[in-house]
Amino acid sequence: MLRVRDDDASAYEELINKYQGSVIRLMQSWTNDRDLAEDLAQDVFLRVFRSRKSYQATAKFATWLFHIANNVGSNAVRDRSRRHEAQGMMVQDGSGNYLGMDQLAAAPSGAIPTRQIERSERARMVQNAVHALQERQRIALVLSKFEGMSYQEIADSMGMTVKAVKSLLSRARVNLRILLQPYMDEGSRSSGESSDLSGREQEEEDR
Amino acid sequence: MTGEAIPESDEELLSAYLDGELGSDQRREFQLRLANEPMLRERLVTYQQAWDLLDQYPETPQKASFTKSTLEMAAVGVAKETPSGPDQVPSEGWRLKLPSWALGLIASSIFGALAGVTFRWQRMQNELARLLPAAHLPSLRFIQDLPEAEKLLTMPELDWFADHVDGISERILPPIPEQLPARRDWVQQLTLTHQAILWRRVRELEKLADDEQQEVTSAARKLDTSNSGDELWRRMAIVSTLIDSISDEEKLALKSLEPEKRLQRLEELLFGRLAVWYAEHLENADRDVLLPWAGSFIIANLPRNISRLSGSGDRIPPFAQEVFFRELLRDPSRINLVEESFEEVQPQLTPMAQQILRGIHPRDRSMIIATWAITALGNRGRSFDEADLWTAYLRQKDEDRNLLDLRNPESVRDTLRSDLIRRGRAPANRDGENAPPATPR
Repeated sequence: MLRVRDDDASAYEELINKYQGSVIRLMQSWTNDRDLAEDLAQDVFLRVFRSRKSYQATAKFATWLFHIANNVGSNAVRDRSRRHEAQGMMVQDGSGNYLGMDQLAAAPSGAIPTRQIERSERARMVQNAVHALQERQRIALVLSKFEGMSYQEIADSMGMTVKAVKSLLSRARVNLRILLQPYMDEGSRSSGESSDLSGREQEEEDR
Repeated sequence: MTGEAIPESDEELLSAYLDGELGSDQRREFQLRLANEPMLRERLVTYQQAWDLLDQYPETPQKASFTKSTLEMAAVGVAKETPSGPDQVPSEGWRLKLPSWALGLIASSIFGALAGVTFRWQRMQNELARLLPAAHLPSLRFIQDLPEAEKLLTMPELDWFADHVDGISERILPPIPEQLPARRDWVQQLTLTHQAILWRRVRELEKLADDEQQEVTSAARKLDTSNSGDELWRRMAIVSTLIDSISDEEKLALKSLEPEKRLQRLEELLFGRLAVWYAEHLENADRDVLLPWAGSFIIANLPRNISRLSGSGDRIPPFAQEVFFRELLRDPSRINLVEESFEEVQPQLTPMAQQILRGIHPRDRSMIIATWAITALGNRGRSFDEADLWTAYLRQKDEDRNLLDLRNPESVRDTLRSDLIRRGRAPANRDGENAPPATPR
């Protein structure tokens, strides 16, 4: 980034190449829309470029980058909501119907094949599960899992406290375990967990 | 057992433990608990399993086109930030009279004049010198070797483009001439793109006030007295589009080449790599110009007038159909236009198709309706009574869906049908009552 600050075009290209996948994935986590995610990711990199002269190497670059990215993602979601176009993070069932998170968790296991499932199908269900998480849980999870960021770094990039990040990730794990239970090796999900999930989600929304 | 609730504080501890966020003392203490508490240990395992499943989250492939377009946008930003030197200050009179895009048209006219049959080079240079503002527009700033541009404009492809611009009004692309077989593919791509861009520019010209039109026309005619106004404007649009397609970075690179290599490189840039670039960036770079072209025609005729349309159904290029589909998914406001037609479409669908359409997301429903309409356009006399085939299309992951080449209908049909068969929703036998409908052409 220091080279970018000094107007080194090749360094900027390297930076885009290195982080584009991460930023697009993060933007996709915000929007659940691949095309829009790419547009927003491009906006993120342009903002980085425009801010290059003011960049201070006091923090890890990735933290600074993802802080910008989270602002862009958050604004995009907010703008979409303002236009009343937000569809929420909806997940399709096998018949093309859209399910909310609770419905997804409560779906009968027979509707979700647990064995011999194709990898692409599994990948899609994993993606659906992630997108079914509450927004901040989802972002924290992506930064932790895919970017390998520490709680402190996630807190910095999301503008939150470490304690809040810790709580978000814990809840994300709880919910993921429920959502992905059919794909894990052992046992079936108990029926009580759906209400458990709903309750926790409600608590979080209330906070 | 795994469903039993554990205290929230323990869940946070488990999560922090797995994330390596516990201090050494806290970690030791928690490991002791794990050793003694089977339920906690079991929960730890399931958390880890769920976490590991995330490894199957779809990867985001790196795209060179993304990098390139971002670099170009950044470069444009730099160009805007960089003030012109003292010798580049445009004439105030020109600058104040015309909007920037009109100046662009004047710049274009300079290149349009280059293509005139009775081109007078010296006169052109004199005019260029006089029209200082145009000379400093981005399109011209880095390409100063005008004789080479003149050669470029004699290329047969350009003539071909010019000859067929009028085809816009018919919305049908003529066949690629046989004398250009080696470049058939990219000519087709480029033509589709440029047809749309030219369409927009023609509209811009038409929106000009009379005095502005006269001003632009007058400036253009000073440079070329041999062509009719129509011909000249057409040339203006074509050449300015081509030149504008080159990034500033590439123009700089051109300048550094030996003159004899420059034209070759320019040609390659304009007609080779750019064609691919356009295709790759379609949804980003050209959606605003392609949509009016593809979308307006489809929406205007959807679905009210379908039954009254004449023709064979080949009037919407598959390329445009694909653009339209993507656009429908991208911009919900446009979908409303299609959605409004749902009630009208419904009676023409089978009960099964109606049921499917009611059950799915409105966005996807619109896409099916659009698909149905296009299919109807492309296959006169046939009814679209198997919406489930297209539901299979919609059920594809976005990435997979984008991989489907709508320009290859048979391939799309086979892929979708395989998907249905795999899901047990269609018989393996293709013959008989459940044969899939013809896909849009």
